[in-house]
Amino acid sequence: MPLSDALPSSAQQVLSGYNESSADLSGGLARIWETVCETLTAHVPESLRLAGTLLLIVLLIALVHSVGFGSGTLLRMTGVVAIVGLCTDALTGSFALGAETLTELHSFSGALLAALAAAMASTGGVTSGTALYAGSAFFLNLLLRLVTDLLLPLVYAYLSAAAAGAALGNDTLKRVADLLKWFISTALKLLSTAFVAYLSITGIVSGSADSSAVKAVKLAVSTAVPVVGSIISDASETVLVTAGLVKNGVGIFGLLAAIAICAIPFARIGLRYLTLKLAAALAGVVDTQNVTKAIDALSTAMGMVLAMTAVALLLTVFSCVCALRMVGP
Amino acid sequence: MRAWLLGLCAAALLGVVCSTAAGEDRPVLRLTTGLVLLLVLLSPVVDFNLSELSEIWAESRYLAENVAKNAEIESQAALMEGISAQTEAYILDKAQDMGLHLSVEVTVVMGERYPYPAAVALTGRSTTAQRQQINRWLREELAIAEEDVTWNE
Repeated sequence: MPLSDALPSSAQQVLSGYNESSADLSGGLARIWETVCETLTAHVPESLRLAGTLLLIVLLIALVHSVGFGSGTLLRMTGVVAIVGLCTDALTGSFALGAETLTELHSFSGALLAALAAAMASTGGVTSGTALYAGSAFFLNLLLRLVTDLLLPLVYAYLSAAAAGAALGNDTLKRVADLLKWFISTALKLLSTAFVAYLSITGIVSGSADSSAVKAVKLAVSTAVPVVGSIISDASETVLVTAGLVKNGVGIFGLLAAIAICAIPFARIGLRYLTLKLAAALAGVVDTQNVTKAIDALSTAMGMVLAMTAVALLLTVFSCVCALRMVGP
Repeated sequence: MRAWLLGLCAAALLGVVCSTAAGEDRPVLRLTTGLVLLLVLLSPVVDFNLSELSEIWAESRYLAENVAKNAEIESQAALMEGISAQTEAYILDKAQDMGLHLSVEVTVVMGERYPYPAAVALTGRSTTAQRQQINRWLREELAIAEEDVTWNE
């Protein structure tokens, strides 16, 4: 099955006409950039409306507080509930988009990693290809499970604790929220570091194992009858060059495809994240009741979802780059 | 996720109810409800099944080895085909130099470390002297023994 068939439909539209035998990195990146710009243009008004409404809520709360109407706690709770309620759609939409992107990337990377491992094995990197496929598939699988079963629920927990802490002005809840935030970011950092360490170590070990194997074959061929040795060398050179071309095509297309899968969700979640950060910064100027903490918590939650998608993209891109960097023995 | 959120809501509700209680038991109630809330909050960490990791690793490793093995077999087949084609062209060149019009079929087999041409089938008209000359040349140049050369008219 061609690799382009394994792409989800949204990425297929972005990369229409591209496949592993006709992948042009700069042309593909330019096309992805165009799509990202179109998405941003389409979603900017909606995000600005959200930011404007959030500012209005904070302004209203400050206004009511300044005329001495209603108690501080009641006003703060009303403000936080209004802010969280207003952002619920954007938030659940971003969470769903992030989870869907992860699933799509995981499903595509299955086909991509198999193609990369096969191409690497054909260029003499049997051990490297096996290590790369096994490691990348394992870490992507682990990330998907970690996100679905653990990190996403913890983001919800963070949000609940941070919003409740902001509404009640409770320091304990704030500390719980901080702990959850630390746990999520540390888990993602650890996973990325472990993956990079795995690739570096196995790259060195399996690379030298492959080189030794190829050297042994070359040595054996050199002891053969001269004409036979020369025929084997020529034929082997042809096979290696062809496999190298296939490997580069698969690697570059895989790189483009992974970026294309993540580009639109990234742009949409990133835009919401920046909008909320901007709204929190602007609202902070007029906020008298600390309700901007709720906006901050919402933007941080959005940032965490963005980070989860970014780690998945990083794993896939690293795998492609490692395959591309592997020089045929 | 749904069960966890429901549990969280229930624990929070219990906390609110207990916090309204007055009297000497209040600190104990607050501590208990706080602990319940913390346990529910962190239950995804406890529920996360680490024993599945070894299964995921074994599955990934198995898939990777299969893919690499198949690719190696395909690559080997391509190499044998290439060796066969080049050897055939080499023998045909020699035959044409000798004024022979033959068709050649080379059998390539896998040796201990690399594939090599092991047998040749030659089809076409030739004299005994020409056959002997070709056989000798095949033995010297390609290390193919006389018994591995087949002549067909």
